[in-house]
Amino acid sequence: MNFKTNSCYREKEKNLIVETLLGGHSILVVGKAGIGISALMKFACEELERKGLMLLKVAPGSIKQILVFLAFQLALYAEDDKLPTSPRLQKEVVEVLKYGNFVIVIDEANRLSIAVRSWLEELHENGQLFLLGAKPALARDIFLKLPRMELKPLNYEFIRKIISETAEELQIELTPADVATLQERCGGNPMLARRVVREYQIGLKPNALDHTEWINGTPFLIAALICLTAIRFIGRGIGDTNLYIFGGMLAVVASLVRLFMFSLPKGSKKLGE
Amino acid sequence: MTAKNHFLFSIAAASLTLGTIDPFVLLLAGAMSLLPDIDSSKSVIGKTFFPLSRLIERHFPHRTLTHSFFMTTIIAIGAIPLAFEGTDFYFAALIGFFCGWFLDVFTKAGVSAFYPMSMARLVIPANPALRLSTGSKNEWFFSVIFLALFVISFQLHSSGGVMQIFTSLLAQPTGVAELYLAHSNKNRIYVNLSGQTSAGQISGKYEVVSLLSNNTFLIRRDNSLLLVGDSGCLHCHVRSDSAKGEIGEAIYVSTQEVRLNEQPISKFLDYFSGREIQVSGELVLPNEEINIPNSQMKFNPIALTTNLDSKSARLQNASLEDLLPLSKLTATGNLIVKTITQ
Repeated sequence: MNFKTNSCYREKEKNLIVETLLGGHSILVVGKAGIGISALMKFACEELERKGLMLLKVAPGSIKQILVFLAFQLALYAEDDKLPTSPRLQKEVVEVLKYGNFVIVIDEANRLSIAVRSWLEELHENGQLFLLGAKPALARDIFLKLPRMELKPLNYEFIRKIISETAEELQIELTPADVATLQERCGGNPMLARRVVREYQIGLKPNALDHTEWINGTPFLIAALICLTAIRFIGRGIGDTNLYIFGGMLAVVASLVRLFMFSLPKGSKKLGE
Repeated sequence: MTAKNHFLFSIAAASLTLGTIDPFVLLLAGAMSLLPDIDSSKSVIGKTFFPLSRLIERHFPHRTLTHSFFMTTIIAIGAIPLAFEGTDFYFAALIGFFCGWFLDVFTKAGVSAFYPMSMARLVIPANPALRLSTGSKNEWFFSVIFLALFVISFQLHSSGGVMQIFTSLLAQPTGVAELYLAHSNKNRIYVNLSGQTSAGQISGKYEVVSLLSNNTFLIRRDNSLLLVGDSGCLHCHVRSDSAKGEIGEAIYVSTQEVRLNEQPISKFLDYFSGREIQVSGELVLPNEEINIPNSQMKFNPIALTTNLDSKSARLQNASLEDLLPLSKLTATGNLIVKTITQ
């Protein structure tokens, strides 16, 4: 969670996270890659710390690594101390967590192993508070049980600000026309907003646009063409043979276009996959 | 897509959908196709209206507000005054604007067609590798296609339109009937006919006199009328194998109603003497012997019915010559007279 930006563009979501945790509930923040989960969690953590909550920020890892990390943050052991075995350490950590007002914060929780997730689930059932961030996570174990907040694409006004901020950081000048054009390639994704400015600086004009905010218009086009085939029925209804035959030919064209469009190779729909 | 392609596509689409080659209508469609790109100060229209384009691009990403169904609706409402100039102008403005942005759905970045409800980009096809890059060399390929479309459309509409060419290719009586309906008030309509009569094969170019239904019509051949229909028409005098309509010389057609009240038909004939007329209607005649040649081999424009104390004649597309056998009689009735002048 290392960000240069000092502006939080998701105030509403941040306040909701803070209120949820202060109210004694855990929360899972999910969203597509680059959508701003880590940034949001960073700002939420700052606010929670200001409100007096004790946060235990943990990086995804094995159960042993997480236990050691928690033990150090809970001041159970110093870095030079000899640590006990994992089961014993786990028992000690659980004991401390039981009597303190702690929030365990894990970003990229989708990288946690099943064993860790099961342990976290057990902790959650015992009343432990969590703030988890994850890419679209599987609907199972702890991911299923935690209240889930899904991040939507960022408003284009904020994307414009991020592009301008990044351009300022990189000391390049962008005209409003450049910004408007670069915005086309972001689709409300702040990570991509920063990336496109760097690509602009280098002079790259990538063909593949990575954002996922697409609507495939092919079915609409096919539907419009199929509507034209209604001419056939009009022709039949009014007894016009020519219109009937013409409509039939349009139906054939619509079928051919449909066949052609749906046989085209399909691109990947998910960012980061 | 570049301005050139937007322009070409829009005039081709307007020409094909509106069935027109009116240069003013097509120019309006072309000009409107450039309007969506006013959201970029780098576009042709953006440079022309620089302060406005700069204002838009300061607030909206490219291809959002002006490339949406929302803006198309606003244009549809705003352009209503154009409808008073002619519906073609109104629809040309709409088609031009819509085509102006819709073509961009085939580009890599697509358009936010559902703005402001969604910023998601509408694209066709889904695979970005198959979509176009704006300003790429591939655009020339599309320029050629759009230009060809426009040329085809121009040719089609110069020759009477898509359906007319299609029906002409099919060479069916319905096509001739449609052509007659569309043009007979301003032009003579001819048919290049080949078909079967009870006397054998018939082939040649004949004038279409009138329609009797949407697939039967009357032709004039050697001063007599023949009913033409398709190969399944059993009561027709000519069952056509091929019937291709043709627009002939310009004419002026006027129609009037004439009422005879026990007046001599000769007076009626004198009044219209020397003019080309077609008379339809019903006359009540005195109960005298009238000799009108009837034949099953041709269409009879005068059908006589004998009543107890009078006779009545039903006229259908009768010419002056057809009425000559009645010239010595007095008659009562209403007639519709269609006068054709060159």
